[in-house]
Amino acid sequence: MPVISKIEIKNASITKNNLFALLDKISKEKTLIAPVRNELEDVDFLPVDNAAAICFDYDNTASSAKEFFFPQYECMFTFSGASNASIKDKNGNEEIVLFGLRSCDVKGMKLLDKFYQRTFEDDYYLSKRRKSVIISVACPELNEQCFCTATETGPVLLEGFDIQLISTGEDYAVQIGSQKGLELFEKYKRLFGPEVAVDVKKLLAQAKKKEPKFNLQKVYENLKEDKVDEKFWEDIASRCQSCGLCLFLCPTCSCYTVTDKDTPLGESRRSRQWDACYFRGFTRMAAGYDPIRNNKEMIKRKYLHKLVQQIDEFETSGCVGCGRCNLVCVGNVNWLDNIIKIERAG
Amino acid sequence: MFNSKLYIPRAAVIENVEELTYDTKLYRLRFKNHKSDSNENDYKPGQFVQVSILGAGEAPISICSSPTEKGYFELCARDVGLVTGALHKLKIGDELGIRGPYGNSFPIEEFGGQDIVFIGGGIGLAPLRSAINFALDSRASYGEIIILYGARTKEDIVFADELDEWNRQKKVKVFTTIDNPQKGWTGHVGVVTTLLDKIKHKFKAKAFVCGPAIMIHFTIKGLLDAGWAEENIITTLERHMKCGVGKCGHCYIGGKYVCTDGPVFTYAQLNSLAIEV
Repeated sequence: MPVISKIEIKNASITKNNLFALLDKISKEKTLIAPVRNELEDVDFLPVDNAAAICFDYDNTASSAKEFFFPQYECMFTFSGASNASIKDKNGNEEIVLFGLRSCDVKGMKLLDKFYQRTFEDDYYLSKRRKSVIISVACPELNEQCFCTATETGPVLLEGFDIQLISTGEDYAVQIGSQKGLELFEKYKRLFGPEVAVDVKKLLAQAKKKEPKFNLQKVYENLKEDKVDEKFWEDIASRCQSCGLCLFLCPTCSCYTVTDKDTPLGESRRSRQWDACYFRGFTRMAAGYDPIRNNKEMIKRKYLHKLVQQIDEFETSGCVGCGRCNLVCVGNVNWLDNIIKIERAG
Repeated sequence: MFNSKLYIPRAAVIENVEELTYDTKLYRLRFKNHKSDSNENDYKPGQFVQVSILGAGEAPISICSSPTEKGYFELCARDVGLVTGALHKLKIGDELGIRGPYGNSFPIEEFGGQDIVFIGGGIGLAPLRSAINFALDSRASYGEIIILYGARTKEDIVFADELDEWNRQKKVKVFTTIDNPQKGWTGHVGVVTTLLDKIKHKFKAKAFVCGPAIMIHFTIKGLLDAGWAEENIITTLERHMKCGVGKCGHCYIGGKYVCTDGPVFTYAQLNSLAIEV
């Protein structure tokens, strides 16, 4: 069963007031996750029970929405003692509606959808995705930290969304791109206005006119042909503190570790939780052998994964250009600057 | 698949435990409940399972029996980590969990009629044993079989009886070596690569190599020097794994997941992926 059943894109519109009313209604009837500004002025996704709690004025959220489908800590099953018969599968979930994802994050989610369906289907992720509807909001313009025009992941989406909102100044043009999106639209139809057609291709071309920060194809080739000086990798390796924050915030990072733990309630849990390839020990085996011999190889592996191998496998960049990793690095490793250096290496 | 849900292990019972060395045991397993579509011998040589010990966790372990043996499968484990440590405490009749079988397999069936060389180091003989017994169970289908096996000391030799038994079979030769001279050892001394002389005339044979990383590295180098083609050298990689199904990311290397794209690779493949061994 596909995560998204695509349909021919249907156009509509919605006024700002009606969008507020729509989200307020959804928040009362379903679980709504939306951007919320907290007391530290960070905007992040949280469950809301009324539309007044939603922040509409933001560049992007501090975290991507991946945690709603791939939680930072997720109990896979519970058990007691050594008997496998005591195992209780904890893969259950409710329908959620997510509002306010940016185009780059929808693209990141699409990559994860493909990843979790390749080889073996990961039902813990996929069942949550199948039950969710995403209302994404195209960025009116490129934010300072972002580079989605270079990674071809925004600021507007051509396809692959449930419902996409595109600002028309006062109000929004609405595009419905999936069966799930259509069902939501039909349910709240009276809040939507007449068809407003938007030329997304034209919007993308306009966004691209502002010089993209790098040429992805060139970056891909230089990495694939190993044109980058070893000193470049050594420099990054010397500054990376292996905190893993860039990877936790990355919309397409999905590595996890698994632990068994007892709880005070007497039942034990096998859970998965986020892991990161920048944690030393990530590849170390029980007897001590580590095939990733040093930080340089560790760093290089991430760049190759996102900018070469994921493009080869998924035909879309593993970096979606959200720029979150650059905002948090304690070692002042700037992913974007480094990509530009890679581009110029050849 | 042995298990019907991706992450939920299937209960298996330990039918027999055999101490192979001071730190290595051989476990014979049978599933607790049987279903028509998946039996104990529903795997291929070279595949592995995720062994689950509730409370301790999971670890990938190669199946070391041959699917030609019905009604059970065998795992060989050295006591080196959290899960294998917990496994070593289990006794006959105890229960553990199994997911799998996972990974690709040794392409042994494709090599009918040909000479085959197996080169194992330490516990690396375990996955090879599956392919060796598979080949020997249809003996007429293969040419000469040569097994080179190296262990650190004579106490580290696994499957000692079987090495002797294989050596007694027609058109099978087994050469065993230990790293350093030892009292009571009259056989060959030196690392396993010092045995490569015994097979240099067989450079057209398929060579299956498994052992510690450093052993694989020097064995492949030796084979290449002796004229082996990169496509004819087949090895199996060991990696840290949590899921076994291409999701957790730990075994990811060169754009491949060792658990689903491997663990068996030809040297030609490893080279094209820039994976160093």
